[in-house]
Amino acid sequence: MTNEIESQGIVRELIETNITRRLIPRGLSWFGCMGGLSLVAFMIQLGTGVFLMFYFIPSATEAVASIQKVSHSVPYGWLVHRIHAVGPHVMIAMVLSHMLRILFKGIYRHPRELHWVSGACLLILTLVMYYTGYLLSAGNHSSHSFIPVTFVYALHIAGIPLAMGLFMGIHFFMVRSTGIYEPL
Amino acid sequence: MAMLDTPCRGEAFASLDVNTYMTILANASPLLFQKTKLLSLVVRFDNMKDYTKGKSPEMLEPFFPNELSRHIIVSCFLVILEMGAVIFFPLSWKAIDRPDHIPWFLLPVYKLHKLVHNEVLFIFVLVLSALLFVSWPFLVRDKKWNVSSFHNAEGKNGSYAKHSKERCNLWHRPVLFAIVISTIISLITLCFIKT
Ligand code: HEM
Ligand code: HEM
Repeated sequence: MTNEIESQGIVRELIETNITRRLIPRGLSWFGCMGGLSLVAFMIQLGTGVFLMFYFIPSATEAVASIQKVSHSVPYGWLVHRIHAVGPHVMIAMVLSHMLRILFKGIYRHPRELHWVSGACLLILTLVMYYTGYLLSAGNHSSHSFIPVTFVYALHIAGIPLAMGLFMGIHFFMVRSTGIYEPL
Repeated sequence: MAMLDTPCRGEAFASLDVNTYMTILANASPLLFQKTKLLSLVVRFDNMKDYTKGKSPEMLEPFFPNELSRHIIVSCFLVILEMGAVIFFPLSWKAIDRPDHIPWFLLPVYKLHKLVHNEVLFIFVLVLSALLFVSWPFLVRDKKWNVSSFHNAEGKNGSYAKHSKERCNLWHRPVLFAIVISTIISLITLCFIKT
């Protein structure tokens, strides 16, 4: 019973300090949203990617047929596939603007060097994500098939996303503890 | 956590009915919240920055609902942008057997590959630029900057903040600024080179 009350207290405190009673500096720039937008774009890739996973068959012989099935006989499959194919361009534009803002405002300075390091790794991982995804869709052309499709597939749906999740966790945790950069 | 006593909109929401949903929340997942110490562990290791330190109430605003609604507006903007891209982005609509294409952000790499015939050299250049990119903050370290920005970040004293404002944007360091701008220009030029 005391345990229950104690945990209620903790949850209550969590909600109050993080949401309802939290105060933030006034007048933050809209440009500061680019990081958040990169995250939203990543989430869109994640959502559409999981949908594609249900149908995609990572094999040199069946990949073409499975993509064809997604875009012709699954309801809205063409849309999800299209979003997953165009989304990376939007996401990378967001990540690059986020990075350029940090660069030109000099926000990578102490105490935020490691924010930059984790962010830079995220950008590189995003590019690798694009490349592996490209190989998956181009795997059908068979000209790129010097790497086994299953290997590229494992990287694209598990290996790199897990690494990105880890780096994002570190990234956000650090932003949380140093606080957002405030111009004065 | 030091909180200001000024009433704000966020507080009005806080008093709305926190007790009701708190009970539901705490009971809804007894395993996580009651049987284990996970939650208290998370709370102990989480050190969120307190923005109220050294600030007057006018310099602050409630996160909820102000910032939260801003997040929602901005996310909607992204979804609209993405839908626009789905329709207008110049990418073949064919699901398979698409013509080969190089995305705009990999153009410099592609052109570099065309220019540098030595495979080893090409990979060396790529790895070197990635390393330089990742370690940029450490390469351009400056003592004077660091001291001021540290105090600024800590929010200890307004006067430090003023000092750091003088030299914080990149264009206040001409050499670095020149390096960055010329790198960007050469990357863009690389995209237009005919190979
Ligand atoms: C997938 C890629 C990325 C995601 C999802 C992401 C997400 C975020 C988010 C949500 C923030 C919070 C504040 C803000 O939006 O400015 C942030 C801050 C930051 N990010 Fe990123 N980021 C990414 C890539 C990068 C890159 C490529 C860099 C730099 C090379 C970078 C460096 C930073 C720094 C230095 C901050 C601290 C800014 C401040 O204190 O105001 N991030 N990131
Ligand atoms: C940073 C995030 C991501 C990027 C940049 C990205 C990029 C891509 C690209 C460019 C393609 C080729 C699409 C085409 O042209 O047909 C692709 C395919 C694919 N992606 Fe992703 N992706 C990301 C995240 C994910 C995630 C998280 C998953 C799964 C959980 C996923 C699952 C798939 C699958 C199954 C395919 C094959 C289907 C197809 O070829 O369309 N993706 N991805």
